[in-house]
Amino acid sequence: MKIIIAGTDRTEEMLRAIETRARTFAPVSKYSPQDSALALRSAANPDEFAERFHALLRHHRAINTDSLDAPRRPGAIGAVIYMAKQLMWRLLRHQHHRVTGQQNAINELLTAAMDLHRDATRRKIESLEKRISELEAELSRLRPEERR
Amino acid sequence: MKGALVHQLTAGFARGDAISHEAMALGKVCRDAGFQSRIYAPAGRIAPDSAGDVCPLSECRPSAEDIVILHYSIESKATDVFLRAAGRRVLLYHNITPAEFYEPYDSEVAGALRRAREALPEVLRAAHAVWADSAFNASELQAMGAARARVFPLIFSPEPLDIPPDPALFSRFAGEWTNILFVGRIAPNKRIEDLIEAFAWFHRNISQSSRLIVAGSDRSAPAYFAMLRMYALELDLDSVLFVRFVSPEGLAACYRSAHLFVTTSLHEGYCLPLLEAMHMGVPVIAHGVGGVPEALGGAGVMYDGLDNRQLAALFAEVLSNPELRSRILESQRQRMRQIYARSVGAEFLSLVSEIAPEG
Repeated sequence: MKIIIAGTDRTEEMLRAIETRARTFAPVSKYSPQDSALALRSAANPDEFAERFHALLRHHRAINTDSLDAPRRPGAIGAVIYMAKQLMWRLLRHQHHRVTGQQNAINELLTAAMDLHRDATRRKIESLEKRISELEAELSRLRPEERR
Repeated sequence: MKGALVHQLTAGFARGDAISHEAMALGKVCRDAGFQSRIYAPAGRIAPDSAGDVCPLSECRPSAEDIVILHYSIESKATDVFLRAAGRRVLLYHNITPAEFYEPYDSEVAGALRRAREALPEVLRAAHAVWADSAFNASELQAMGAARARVFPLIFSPEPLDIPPDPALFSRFAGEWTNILFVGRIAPNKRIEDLIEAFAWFHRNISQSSRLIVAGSDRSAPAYFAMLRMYALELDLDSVLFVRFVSPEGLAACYRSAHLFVTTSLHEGYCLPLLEAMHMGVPVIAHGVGGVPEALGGAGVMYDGLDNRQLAALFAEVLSNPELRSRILESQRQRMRQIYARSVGAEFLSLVSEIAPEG
């Protein structure tokens, strides 16, 4: 571990300060490692990446409307602005939920459409692979002069 | 030797790309030093808006008196042209990103990177002179037996940044927000996911009035970019702004709005954006890998071995401690004075004078 500031090694004192601060931090992700987008980094190749990406998309299709994420600025004015935002959020919530509900439904339909398309493509590839194998087998049975 | 034509061969050409930028800057250095200069790239790899700056590779026909410089970082048709070219051949090594970084995202790029590394010994043998754009890159070549590798650092020119910022982008980033900036290609070796996670810790625990601005082209690894978008969504971060490729005015707006520049990259040949950030007076925090220590030259903050939670706390320290911040900025000003004092033209002429005549 190393922290160099302006060319001076300040690892010891800086590490103490940042560790003290970092220990108070609340967690940032609610996803398990296998359900996280970061799991895609261990895909062996782009095909596996695409498969996993498609599967992970299911966890990410819904819009989160659980909380009001409004930055809170310091001071009395900041507190008043924050309260006003909370009030506006209560007033707009109903309409907002209707819109996000529609968006979630559209996202689900799009994911379903991708599933259907992927399954159809897979079936087509399987049938083509089968046909190629059959043709190759037929070809191998022919004598060289019959192969033209 | 003055008056000779310098042919620069690149694997591709696009505005905003670091090697294309270097080729343009080197072209200016050549012209200022009394040489003629021309840049070539494979026809299919020239961005439409750059067609006026670069010629198709098929038009490259150097004579025995000419100098042919190959900007080498990935396999391309430019390498074949270089190996057959008449004239004095110079390899300018920009380092090759390890192929493993690209394997999950793009087999084609991973293959081209692997083949570039495999072909490197042959390219080294064919070169009359070997230049590397950082001491780190030169040491890699020296370890391969190229004892004559010389260092010709990436050319930094402040002029493109000293312009009025894009007003739309500048006003978008304005307000009482803490802007943390990353500039660079969106590529897997840059480990932007680490930066996003560190920012998430910072945003959730230190300052909700903060943004992460990621400025850089997403063309080189679209699948990786999709993963980053998904990761930002997973962390419920709508304050991660991917502004993608930006114009010079847009880049100026990004730097002028930034309170902190951070790179968590795992592989860097040099890292020119560090110089850009320091020039623009933005404190930098950089992962000390590859050519980064060299680019920083003892300025800014360099770390190694921190996890993303600790990194977030380091952001907080640098942003909230005025004494620390001013010490960092002073070190950066000092570093930039060294960079401004560099005489690129003289360095170039000295390197050119060392090139052995053909045969």
